[in-house]
Amino acid sequence: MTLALAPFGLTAWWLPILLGIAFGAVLERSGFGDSRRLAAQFYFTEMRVLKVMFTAIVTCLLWITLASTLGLLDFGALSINPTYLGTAVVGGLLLGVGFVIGGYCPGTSIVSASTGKVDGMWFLGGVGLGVFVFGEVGGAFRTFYDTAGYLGRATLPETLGLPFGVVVALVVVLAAGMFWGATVLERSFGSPSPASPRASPAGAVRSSLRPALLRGGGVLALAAVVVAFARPAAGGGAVEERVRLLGAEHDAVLAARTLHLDPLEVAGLLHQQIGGKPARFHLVLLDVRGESEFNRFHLVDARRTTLDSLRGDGGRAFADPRYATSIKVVMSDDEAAAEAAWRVLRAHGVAHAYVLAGGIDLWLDVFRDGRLDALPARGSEATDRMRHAFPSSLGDRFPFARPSEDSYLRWMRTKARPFEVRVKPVTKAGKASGGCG
Amino acid sequence: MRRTGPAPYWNAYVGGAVLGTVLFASFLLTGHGLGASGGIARVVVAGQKVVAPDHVDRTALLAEMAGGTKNPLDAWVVLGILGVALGGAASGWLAGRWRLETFKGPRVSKRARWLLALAGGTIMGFAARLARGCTSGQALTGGATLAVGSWVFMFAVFGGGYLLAYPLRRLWK
Repeated sequence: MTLALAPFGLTAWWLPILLGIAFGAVLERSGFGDSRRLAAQFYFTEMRVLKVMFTAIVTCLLWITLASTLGLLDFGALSINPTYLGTAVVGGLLLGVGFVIGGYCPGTSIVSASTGKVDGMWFLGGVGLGVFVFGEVGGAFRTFYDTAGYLGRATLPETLGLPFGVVVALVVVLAAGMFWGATVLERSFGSPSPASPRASPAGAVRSSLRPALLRGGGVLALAAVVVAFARPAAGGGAVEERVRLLGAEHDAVLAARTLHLDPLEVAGLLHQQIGGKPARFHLVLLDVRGESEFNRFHLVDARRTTLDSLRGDGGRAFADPRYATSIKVVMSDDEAAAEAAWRVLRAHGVAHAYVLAGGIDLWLDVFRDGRLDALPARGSEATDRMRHAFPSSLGDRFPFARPSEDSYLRWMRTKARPFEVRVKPVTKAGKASGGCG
Repeated sequence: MRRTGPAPYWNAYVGGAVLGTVLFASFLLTGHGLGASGGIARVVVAGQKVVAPDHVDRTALLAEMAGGTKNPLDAWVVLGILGVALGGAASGWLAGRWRLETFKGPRVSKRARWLLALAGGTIMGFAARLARGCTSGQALTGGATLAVGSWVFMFAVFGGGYLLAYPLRRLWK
């Protein structure tokens, strides 16, 4: 068990402002408020964009490696951009085109505009316009946006099957190679002031080779030290590792369906009833569907969350003793995503976690359509997509988002929908956790 | 305090090292990286919500940020771009670079440069939303955490730029 302290997950409102100020100031000092210097990247006259970017990536990566090797940082808890290969390629190519036409990127245009550069202001206005257009028409290629080449939380070490330290070393070598190439290209294409015939207002960039080499050597030496000490498992994503290790055990539990709660049982939980009898417990309903589906319909008091969040602090929170005796029910459209979320919760050592049988779709079959004999979709029908249509996004403002206690008790009395009670009553002194918690 | 000319820019490697450290500080303290386009997108959606709230509720890509009672501005990335503007302005002013001017290639007029900036920005705003991030939130932040999609994105950005650089060389040279 590592003694991971960070990330601290601070949410103070002023922190992003402070980090933003530092970010903006560095971009400005690096010359990124000047479109000519940014565009020069594409004409090999001044390769600042590449140098600053890759130095930043290498520096941050070395810090992360160092901190997680020392056990001060839990790499598995960092928010890692999920991978969508389709949009990464198409969006990336378009972004490059916009870059060479407009001369900025969104962040640098903010810096440029805030230092009085009129072209930066026009560019920033354009970004706003482009964002607006995407919001309006993007729905037309929603399937591509959501699914093309989706790999989830994929990192290079996992995908390449290489130890973390080796990938870090490869990135450092790649960056060093590119810096060398950039310097060579600048020598053959470059002039002291790249885009303008008059002397650059910002002063010439001093880039004599010797200090550059010295610094490069220093970075390489630091990298070598970090990599030499990096444990191969550093930053492997501890939770995912446990999900993998527990895979077979969880498969068996899920296949036995002893933790899948019938919609009617969950309707009872909403009224502090377990199997038709009053009980006292704290209930947590976790909905792992997308925001738009959640907005269309969700159970009263359900919280929306994502698998990514559950893998990090969002899931770890439920392993806290405060939640030890809460009953947690995860739900998705069918069961696939909910079961995945359940596995993550169990990997965190969260007790009393259940899956809503048949998901929101079955819930709606039963309580919206009144099909009391409906069963969970199985096999090819179980697509984990919302089968029910809603004309508007009313969230939980439907009667069937919380069937009344009276109808629940009536259905229980008349055995209108027989089911096996799965929820085990929790006692105050219940065991804190059943696993690796 | 004021110098006669603007302060020189930092050496690119120094700038990169400081930038990487700021990014690491962000990860360490908050658990996430830096971003820019997401903040701009949220500001735009906030405007749309004021003008046409029903439309925002009915459009999935907008409702995700601003549907119902959600406040699109209640996000770290919005505060982040506010900081970027403040930091950029302060740094530029201290360096003696705060001046109303237009940066452009030698062969294009100011007006043409403005329109090109608008066009490039529009393409980029669209692309950044499509790619779920721009050079800050996707390439830099994702690159430093070894996200596969971010590395693919980064090389695609350079690819797209170099693809069009030669035909458009008159804009900049």
